[in-house]
Amino acid sequence: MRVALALRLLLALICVIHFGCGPELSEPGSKTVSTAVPSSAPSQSSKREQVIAPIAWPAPALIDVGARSSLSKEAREVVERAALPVWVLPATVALQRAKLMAKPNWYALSSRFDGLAVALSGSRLTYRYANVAAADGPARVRGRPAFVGHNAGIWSVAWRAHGAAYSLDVECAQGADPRCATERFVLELADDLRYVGGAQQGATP
Amino acid sequence: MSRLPQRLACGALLVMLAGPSVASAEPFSYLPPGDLIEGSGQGAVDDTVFAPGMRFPIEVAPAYANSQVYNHGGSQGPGGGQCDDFNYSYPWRDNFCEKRSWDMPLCPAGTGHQGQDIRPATCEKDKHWAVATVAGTITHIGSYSVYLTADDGTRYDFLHMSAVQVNVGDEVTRGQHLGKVSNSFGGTPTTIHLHFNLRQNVEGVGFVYVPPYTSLLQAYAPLIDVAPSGSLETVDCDALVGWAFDSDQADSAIDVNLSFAVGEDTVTHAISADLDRDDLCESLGSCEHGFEVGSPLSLFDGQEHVVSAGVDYEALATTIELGGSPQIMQCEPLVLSGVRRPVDVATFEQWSLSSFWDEAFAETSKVEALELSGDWPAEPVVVRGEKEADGYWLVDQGQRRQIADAKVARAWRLDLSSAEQRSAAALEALAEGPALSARPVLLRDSDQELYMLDAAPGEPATPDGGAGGSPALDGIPGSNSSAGCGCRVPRRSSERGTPTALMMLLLAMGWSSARRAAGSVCRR
Repeated sequence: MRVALALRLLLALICVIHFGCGPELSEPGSKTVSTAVPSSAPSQSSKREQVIAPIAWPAPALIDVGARSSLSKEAREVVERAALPVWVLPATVALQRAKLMAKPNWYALSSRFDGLAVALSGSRLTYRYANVAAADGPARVRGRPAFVGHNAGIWSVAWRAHGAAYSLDVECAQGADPRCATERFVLELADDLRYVGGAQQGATP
Repeated sequence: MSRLPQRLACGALLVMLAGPSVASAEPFSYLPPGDLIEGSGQGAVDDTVFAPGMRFPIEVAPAYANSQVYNHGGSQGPGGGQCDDFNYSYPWRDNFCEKRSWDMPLCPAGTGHQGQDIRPATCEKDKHWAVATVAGTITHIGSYSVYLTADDGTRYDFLHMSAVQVNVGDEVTRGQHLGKVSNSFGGTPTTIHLHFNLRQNVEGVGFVYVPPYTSLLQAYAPLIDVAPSGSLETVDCDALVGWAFDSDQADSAIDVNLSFAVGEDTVTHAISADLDRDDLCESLGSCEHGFEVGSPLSLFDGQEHVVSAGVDYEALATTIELGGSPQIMQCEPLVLSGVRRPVDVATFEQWSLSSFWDEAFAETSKVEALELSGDWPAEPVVVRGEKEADGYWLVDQGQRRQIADAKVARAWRLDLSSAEQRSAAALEALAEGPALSARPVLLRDSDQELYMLDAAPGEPATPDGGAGGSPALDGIPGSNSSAGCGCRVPRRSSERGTPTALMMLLLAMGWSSARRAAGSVCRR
C-alpha cells in the first residue's frame, strides 16, 4: 500500500514538474472506467446578475376577501409586508394550517393537510444568466405558460406572473395517493389559488 | 487536450499531494459538469456556479455525488446492491438532467432530473447529518423534504431525509443540522442518499431548478482541503472592506480579486489581504488577512456597478467567491470644493496613483470653478520626528502635513518605513499645513487635464486623520462625513460574512483535523 502511494506521489510530482500535468496522468484518483477528465472549471458567479423585477400589482378588487379572512392574523401580517402579490391555497383547512413567510424579495407558504404537503413560493428577485435563454413552459396554469415537473415523487408547477415567478409543489405522504398519480391535481390547485394582496395593497380590504 | 483540462487534472493531483486526504484514503476527483453516465441522458454542460459560496449540504466528507438510479442498486443500474463500493467512491458524477420525462428548461433535452444525488460517507441511513447550505429560512417541510430559502430567493431542497431537526419558519444558520440523510420516499424507501436541488427565479424562465453540480464541487473543496475563504463585508462609497485567508498559507497574505462591472466589461484588480485586523486574530490564528481599499473614484458616476470578490483556489483551478459577494456599488459624482493642483504624468507615476482607483471625472467647468493652486509635489517626501509621538508628515512646498495614521499612508501608497527622520527643530521649522486627506482624489476634466483635489491653503489642520484636510468633506470618500454623501449602496447579498464565515472556516479546519485523526473510512 505504501509502495503504491509512494509511486502515485512520484508520478504526480513528475507530472507537475516535467509535464505540466498532462492528460496521461489526469485521473490519479479515479478508480472507475471513465477516461474523461474535467473539461471545465467551475467559474465564479460573474456570469450572473441579480435583478429585482418591477411588480405589476393586480387590481385590489381581485383580492379574495374570503381567503384573506381565513388567514390567521400572523399570516395576514406576512401578506401585508410581502413585496409581491401573494397567492394562497383555496381550501380553508389548508389555509388555516398554512405557514406564510416573507422576506424583502420573496414569500413562501407551506401547508400539510390530508396527507399532502404543499409548498408555494414566489420571488421577485431574478437571476440573469448570460447563458440561459428565455423559455416558456409547454403547460398552462392561470392562463400562462408553465413548466410541470415530477421528480423524486414531488409534483411541481412553475409559472411567471405580475413580474414575479411562482412555483407550487405537491408531495404526497404516500406515493400511492391518487392525487400524486398524475399532474392533474397540482395543475388544478395552481389554477385555484386565491389572491390575498401584498405590501403595496396594505391591509385593505 | 486544452490547457484548462490539464490545469484541472493538475488540480486533482494537487489535492492528492496536499497530504493524506482528509476525506478518505482515496484522493478526490470528479467528472465535469454535464458528463452523465452513458445512456442516462444528456447533461447540462455548464460551468456556472449557480450558488457560489454555499456550504456543502452534508456535514462531513467523504460524500459521493453520483446517480442513485443508474448505479448499483438503482432501477436502471448494472445490478448489485446500493452499498456497492463503486457507489461509495470517487470520481463524482453529475446527474442533473438525467433521463426523466418532465419539464426541465435548463436541460438540453428540456426534460430531466431536477438535482444531484449525493451519497453520504457510508451506506447507513439516519446516520449522517444534512446541514444548512446557507443561512436562511426553512420554508417547507414535507414527508421527506425540507426546503431552505436564502434571503436572495435561492431555494435549497433536501429530499429523503429523516430525523428532521427544524420547523417551518425557523431561521437557520449555515451549517446547522437539518436532519439525517436517509431513504424516505413517501412510504416506499429509495436508496440512501440526499437528493439536492437548487431552485432560482431565472430571468425569462421562471422559478426553476438550476444545475447544482458546480456549486457542490465548490462547496466540497473546503471539506477535503481547507480552501481559501473570506468575506466581502462592505461595499460603499468610502471603501471596499473584507478579509481573505488560506489555511495552506496561514502566515501569508493572499490576493483578493476585486471585479467591477463597467458597462459590458468587467475590470478586475488584485489587492493583497494583508491588513492587520484584531477581530481576525483569534479566529484565524493570525491577524493580517484584512483588506480595505478606497472605492474606485472612476466609478463615481451615479450608475450601479456590480462588485464581486474572489480568491484563486489552485486545487480546483477555480476562483472561490467570497461570502457577501457580489454587491452593488452606486456612487454619485463627487461634490467638488477645495483647490485644484496640477498633476503631470511623471508626478502621477512617482506617487503610484491609479486612474481606476484615484481618478474621478469632472466637467471642465466644474474643475475650473475650483481655485488653482501650486503643482502637486513631484514625489512624496515623508518625514518623521525623533519620537514616535511626533508622528509622520508629508512635506509639501515647505509645509508639513500630518499623515494621521497607517490607513491614510496606505491610501496614499506612502512607505512610512522609509520616512526620513528629522529633529524636532527641523520639524518645527516647517509650517504646519492641513493634514493629508484620507485618500488621494484626482480630477480629470473634459480636456484631459489632471488635478489633485486638495484642501485650500490655510485651512486648519485636523489631526484625527479621517476628515482632516479633506477639501470637500461632503464628496470625498474616506471623509467619514455623512452629510450629502450622495452615495447609495444597496446590498445584494444577505451574507454579512465575518462571524458566520469564520465559524465555518474553523469548523472546516476542525473537521479536517478530525478526519486526519480518524484515518480511513469504514464502509458497510
